[in-house]
Amino acid sequence: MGKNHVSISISGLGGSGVVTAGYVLLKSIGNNGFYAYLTRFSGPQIRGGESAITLNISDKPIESFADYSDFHFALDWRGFENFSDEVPLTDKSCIIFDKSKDALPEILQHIGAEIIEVDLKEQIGQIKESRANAFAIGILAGQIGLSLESILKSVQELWAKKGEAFINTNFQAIKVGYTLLDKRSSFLEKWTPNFEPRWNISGNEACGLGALRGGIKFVAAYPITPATDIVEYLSPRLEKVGGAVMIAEDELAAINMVIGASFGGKPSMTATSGPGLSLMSEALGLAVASETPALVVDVMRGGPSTGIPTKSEQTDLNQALFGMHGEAPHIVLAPLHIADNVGITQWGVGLAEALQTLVIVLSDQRLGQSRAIIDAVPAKEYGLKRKVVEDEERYQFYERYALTEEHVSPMAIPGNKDGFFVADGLEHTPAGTPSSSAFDHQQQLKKREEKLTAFDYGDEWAEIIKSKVTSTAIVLTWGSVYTNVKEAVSDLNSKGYAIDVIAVRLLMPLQSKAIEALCQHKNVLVVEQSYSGQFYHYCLGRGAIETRALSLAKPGPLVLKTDEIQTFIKEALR
Amino acid sequence: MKNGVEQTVTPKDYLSKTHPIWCPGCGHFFILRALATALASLQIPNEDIGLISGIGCSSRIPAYLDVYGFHGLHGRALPLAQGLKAIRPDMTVIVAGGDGDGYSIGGNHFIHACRRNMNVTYLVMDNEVYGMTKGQPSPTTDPTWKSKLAPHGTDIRTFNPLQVALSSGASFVARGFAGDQKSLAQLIISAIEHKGFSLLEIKSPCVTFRPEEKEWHKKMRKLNVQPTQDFMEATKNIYESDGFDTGIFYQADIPVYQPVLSDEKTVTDFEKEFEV
Repeated sequence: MGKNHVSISISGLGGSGVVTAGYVLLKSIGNNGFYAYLTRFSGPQIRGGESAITLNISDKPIESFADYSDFHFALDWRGFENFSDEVPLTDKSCIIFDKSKDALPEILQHIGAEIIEVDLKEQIGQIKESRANAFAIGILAGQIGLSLESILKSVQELWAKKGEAFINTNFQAIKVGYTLLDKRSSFLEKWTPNFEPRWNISGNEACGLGALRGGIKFVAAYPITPATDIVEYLSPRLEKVGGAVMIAEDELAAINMVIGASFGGKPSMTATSGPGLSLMSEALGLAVASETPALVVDVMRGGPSTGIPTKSEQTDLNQALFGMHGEAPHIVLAPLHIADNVGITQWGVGLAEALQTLVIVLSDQRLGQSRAIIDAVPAKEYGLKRKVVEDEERYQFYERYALTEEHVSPMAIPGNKDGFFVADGLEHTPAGTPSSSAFDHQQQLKKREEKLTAFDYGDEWAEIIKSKVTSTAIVLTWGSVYTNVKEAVSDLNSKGYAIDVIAVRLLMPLQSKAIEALCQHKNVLVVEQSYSGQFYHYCLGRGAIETRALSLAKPGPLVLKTDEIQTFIKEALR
Repeated sequence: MKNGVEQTVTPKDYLSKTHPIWCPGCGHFFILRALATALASLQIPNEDIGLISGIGCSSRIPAYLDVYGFHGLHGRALPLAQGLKAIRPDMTVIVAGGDGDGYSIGGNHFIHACRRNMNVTYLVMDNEVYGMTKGQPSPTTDPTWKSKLAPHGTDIRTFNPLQVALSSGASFVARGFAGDQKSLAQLIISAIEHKGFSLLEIKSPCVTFRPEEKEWHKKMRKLNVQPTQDFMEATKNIYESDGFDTGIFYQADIPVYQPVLSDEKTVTDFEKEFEV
């Protein structure tokens, strides 16, 4: 039995309450015992521009984009053309709009959608001080069968600061909206609710929580869209669990502060986006060479250069993998969905600490800034700790970069009387003395590479979906594209196809042998959100796939939709 | 204390066995010794010292002391040091580097380190030249000095680090001279003891690429004014100095940035915020 779902979208000028309406609905859906995935879109304006939200609602966990909106509510039509790609309206959609604001745009007149006009000016006139978005909440809730009690509960919490009068007035408006239109075969009323512990969380918050769970004690960052939310989440919280956040003067400072704090013995991280990652490149190599643990979360946006700051793309992959001069082996991870942000960030902290290296987590705008009702993410122990020189250990000659069996050397933390050393970005001997000898260089290169390749990453390296029957095809993907790939494949499999999925979380070191084994004798299809097929070429270059593998690579900011992915798979298998 | 006998630390206890890569006669040798003397005088345990540097001749200094050192990136010593200090306020954090490292490639960090005014000591070993890359003009090089890179001189006015430090918010601004070890050690002591960001600009002759700097010892003189905490007076004194005055130009008791760490909550408390 597949899952039930219904999708809605709302658009209007900034200040019209689009996002507020979206958050109220999201929270209410959670209260009602269901799941939903909210994505927001905004124009480039700082304040007052047009905005839109889409909500994909289900009785099972959901984090995919809907191929079309079942219901769209336009508070006005100002700037809607900017979202006509992101907010999919088709002949299956029902469009409701406030006719007292604007007429239906030309582009929507002939798509065959059901059109319902409402006059909110008239409604607002009847309830003094009420707001248009409250009627919209009510109307949409009524159409999908979301219970009024669940809405009341969420507005009481969300609008607590606005006062009782505001809540009463607008809840009255919600109630009026609820019954304003004819009742439909209300979706949610027929579904079975789930009241297991669930969370209302954004991807960037999930990343922040993962950092806290991983024991991060220091963050330094420079503001950048769409990563700043992570730092804003951590700033008021980290200081209450023995940590600190520093606002750096630029990204070069941020990453160097992180390295300094980590040298001081504390797990440390920064969060940035593409342009910031570019600025950090030199210091990323320093973390690798000096074997100082450091975590960098890159919430990717459209590039190159300033690119598209507010929209998503998976195109920092090449840079995260190869952005440093010299040979700088490190770890690159990517979460697949919102809850995964918690675990992957926590794992990233642990790996950086245990392997004394740089870890880059590649999130993206879609993963970071979407908000969803998800199952609560249980606490997990990875058992990854930094190997330090213990106080009772006595060294005749302490060697910071000593060669060991697992290639990781105990690190002396400042304050320890027996472990003086100079951390260095210069190539060095095991003792840390600068050296330009070929022997020392080769020895240390091997050490830094092998500590990563010899490590057992367990099952976390990828999410693998196997079809019930022997498959003939396998989709290889990563990052936020995964949720729509998963939906596309599970739907096809339910219709008689036999397709597997590998969604890679550990991008470096790439588990090429494991991928190769899973792909053997199958049609391999690589799906990613880039123009040039960075992931495809990476897998090819590492020998994980063969040249006959096919690539579906599409740049941001448009989302790879479920039906698009299905069309690609079907054509590939024909 | 060892076997009940009071131990007195000496400058030697801070010096490592590694021999500096510096040229014979380099001013940096004297700064190294003055620093060891200052540390011994302050009796700071070796393990509580973080000596952070960037890249350049002077930035090699951490290896020459038995302390915790970080020889980081060109121009990035200050942020690295501030990250360390933020999370390890118990440590004595000293940054050392050259004029190119601090005033050119690290210029932005210099301004913001002054502005933050963390309790960090910054020793700039200024020889008015890029020595490691064999003699190019730096921000403090005289505009008429001719080199391969600038055959007619740079024709660009010199950078005044003391003035910039003062106006950016540093709470201790001083100049020292490598050739006057005793006064220099005393200035380093004052800089370390000062609560806040201390800039100690140290004139250090580069005998290889700027042999004319050997004559500096004839020109350097002690400042004939007392340290002041009056910003305007300090500005005037710095502005009027020809660059050969040594001493403390400014020392003020102004707010020091240091994150306050507390343990009032647990991560589980924050997880509750997400509950539906």
